[in-house]
Amino acid sequence: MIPARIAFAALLVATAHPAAAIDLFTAQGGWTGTGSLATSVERRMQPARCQVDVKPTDAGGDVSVTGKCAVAVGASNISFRLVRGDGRAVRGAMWSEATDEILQLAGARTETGVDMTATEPWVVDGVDYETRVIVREPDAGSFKIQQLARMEGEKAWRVIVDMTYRQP
Amino acid sequence: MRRPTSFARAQVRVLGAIRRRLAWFWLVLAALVLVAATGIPRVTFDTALIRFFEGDVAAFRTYDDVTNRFEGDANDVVVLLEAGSLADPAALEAVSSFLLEAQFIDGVRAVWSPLSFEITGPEGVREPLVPFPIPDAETMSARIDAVRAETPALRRLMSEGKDAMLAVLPITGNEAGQEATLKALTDLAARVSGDAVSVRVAGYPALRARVSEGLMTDVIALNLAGALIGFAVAALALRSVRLGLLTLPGPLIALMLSIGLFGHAGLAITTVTLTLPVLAMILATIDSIHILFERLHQGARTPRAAALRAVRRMAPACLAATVTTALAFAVFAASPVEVIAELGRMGAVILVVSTLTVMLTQSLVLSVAGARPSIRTAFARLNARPPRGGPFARLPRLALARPRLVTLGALGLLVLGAGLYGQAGPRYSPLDSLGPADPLRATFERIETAVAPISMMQVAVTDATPEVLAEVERTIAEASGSALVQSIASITGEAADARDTLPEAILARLVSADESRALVTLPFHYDSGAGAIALADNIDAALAGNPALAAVEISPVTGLPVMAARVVGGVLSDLQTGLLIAVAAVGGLIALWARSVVVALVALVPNVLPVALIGGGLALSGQGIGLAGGLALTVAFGVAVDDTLHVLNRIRLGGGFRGLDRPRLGAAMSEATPALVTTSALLVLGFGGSAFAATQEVAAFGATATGIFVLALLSDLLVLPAVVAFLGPRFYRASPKG
Repeated sequence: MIPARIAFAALLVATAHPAAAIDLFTAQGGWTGTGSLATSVERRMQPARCQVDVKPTDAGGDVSVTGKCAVAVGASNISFRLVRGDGRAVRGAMWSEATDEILQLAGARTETGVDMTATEPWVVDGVDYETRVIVREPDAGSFKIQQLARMEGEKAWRVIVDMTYRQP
Repeated sequence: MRRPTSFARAQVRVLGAIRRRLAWFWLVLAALVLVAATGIPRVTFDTALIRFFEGDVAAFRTYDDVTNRFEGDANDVVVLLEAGSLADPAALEAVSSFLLEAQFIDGVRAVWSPLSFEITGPEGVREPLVPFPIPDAETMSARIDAVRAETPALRRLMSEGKDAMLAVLPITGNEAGQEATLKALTDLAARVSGDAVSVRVAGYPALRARVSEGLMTDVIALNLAGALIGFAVAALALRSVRLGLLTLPGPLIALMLSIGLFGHAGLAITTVTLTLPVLAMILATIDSIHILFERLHQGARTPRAAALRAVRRMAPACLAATVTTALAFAVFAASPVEVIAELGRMGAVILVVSTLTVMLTQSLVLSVAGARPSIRTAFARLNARPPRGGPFARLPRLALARPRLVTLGALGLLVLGAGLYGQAGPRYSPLDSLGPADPLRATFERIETAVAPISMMQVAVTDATPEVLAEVERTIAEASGSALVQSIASITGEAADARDTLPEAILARLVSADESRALVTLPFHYDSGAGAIALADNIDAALAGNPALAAVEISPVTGLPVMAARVVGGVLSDLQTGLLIAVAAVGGLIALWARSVVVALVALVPNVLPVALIGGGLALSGQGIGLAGGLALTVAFGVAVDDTLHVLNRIRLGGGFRGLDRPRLGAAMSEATPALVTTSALLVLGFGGSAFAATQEVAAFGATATGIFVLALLSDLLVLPAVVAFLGPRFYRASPKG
């Protein structure tokens, strides 16, 4: 069986950035993500869906994202909060029911979206991984999230989340 | 001159009181209507499958103990996905899409499907059985075959030909929420179904929803049909719409009261008790028609005197018939199965209350309506040319022409039918709740034939080590010849973290919450209750006889079909005992009423015969007798006695049994035949509608009971006069008390 309880942390990152692509701290409402993800950093990608509700707070300085992501083997509730920092800086914290772990992120807005990295290594089965999150906006009504990971010391990044979000 | 009995004196006093204080009794009637009207809004419906078997029965206690420790499949939506080949990438894409969407529907807790499995890939890394991108059909087919060969859990979910697979979606237990979840899943199945894959929804929640829907429809449709048919038959038989309408008030109030009593008692209407209000109304209509026929004979009396005299003359037969039917119900009250005991208590109370209601109502209605010129004209017209009973009137003449042949033939059939009836085994299958053409039944049957049986046996094992579970699995597989035996041991295999990766809802049905027990399950094809019990006994013996398991605590084989077969078997045995008690009680009652044991014995022949023939027929069909059929046999016996009592009452009113000769017997039969034909037509048409009920238990009850009513009419018109004529000269004519 596929270990459904792990790896949903990756989805949390994915759900964090739809708001960023359009307007990180003012986007709101329901968003549906379609694409694929790996249920563990070492496993193969598989089709996935996410449904999240985005609620901006604190006059555009703070945004919360809650929802659920599913693969064929199971689903997990997720929760995420993103806070605007000084200048172009962005900080984030996220939790998933599947892992019950909090992952801290930090990064900056770019011309094409947001690039963030985890502030601590992502430990899977005792192995440390670096993680990156890239948000891109291919058109006006959608945004694309990619999450990448690599073992410390590796050169190549593995894509573990590739989701495109649209408002239904 | 015969001295009036205390019963007759009581009747005179009551009817005298009604005559003197008619206004007071209108108030009593108004109070009854108020009771009915306030009770009906409180009525609820119960479709719980398990509650039907609750009671102090060993098989239920074992089942209850096991199912309380593990999550059951009662809230599992089972989705059947079919395609030309489910190894085809396009089909698997569609399956994946369905499973992803389904998990976003409110109430869906988890998903368990062939896509939940994984294999060790070429590089030694675990990967999904169905990887993405999906490989070509040939590669995919080989992957599925490899896992199917090793894992019973996948064999339960995917057909060997890979043309059908199941996805199990446990949903939340809230009944109101389940309706919305089911609808959303059904809508999604319709959306996803297409060229690549067809998707159908089944499982116990779908079954319960269908039964619930059927119960609501049946309560309305059957009672409405019963009322309309009652009116139509009465109007036809009485050749007057006005007189037909006159038969209605009593039965309608009795119907309302019987439904209202459920509400006041706080009891839900179930598939077992659904027929009670219909039965009460039909019996009330029969009493009403008998009273109206008797009213025809009251000549020039005042309307009030004529109405009350008609009620008084019919009261003994009406009350005796009610008591006999109530007795048939009362024997159920001692059942250890609570739903049957509830049926017994409610049946007895409702029948007595509805008979008293109809007698009171018809006394009042006929007293008032009889004064109207149009009604008096209708009575006079009917009295001038009374009903004859049509072609049925020939049957008593035929019987009186060949009494010996008819009697011996009837006795022969009685012995044959009773002998066969004794051989009938119990039957219970959840699918019995669905009609033969129901699409949901077709889905269940397709699951059964294409993928795996839906009926499940369960064994709880205290020592949950993989070695012990494997030995238990092996023993059960050997005893049953099945390759589908499964436990946590065979699902997780040797993968170290596999158990942790199972969804909670799936793990909870394999290992008890306190982790003290593991459940081993066996899907099996259900043919009959007797077959299920034989297989369970065989497995129990194999487990007990395995020395390797001597130190392991293993529960007896249980599961819904096995528990139900054992409980229904016990209930049927109780019902057969109850039927014998009812027969004896009815015989005793007739003996007391007619003051002759011989008359009672003779009267029992035409009443036991239909029950024996239908019971024997059910046994011959090989399917066995279910709860509904068993109940119908006993209840219909009590109802069928009604007509016999009216014939005996007619003989009694015509001079009694002493010196009864064939001309007087023929005259009594001629007088009784029109009412018998009318009331039997009412029973057959009114109750026969139940045979088309959406709820199949109700349909089975209706079909069995209707068969008995048809045979009971033939038996009363043919067998009763024959046995009275043939046995009469030998017994009761010589009796000074006869």
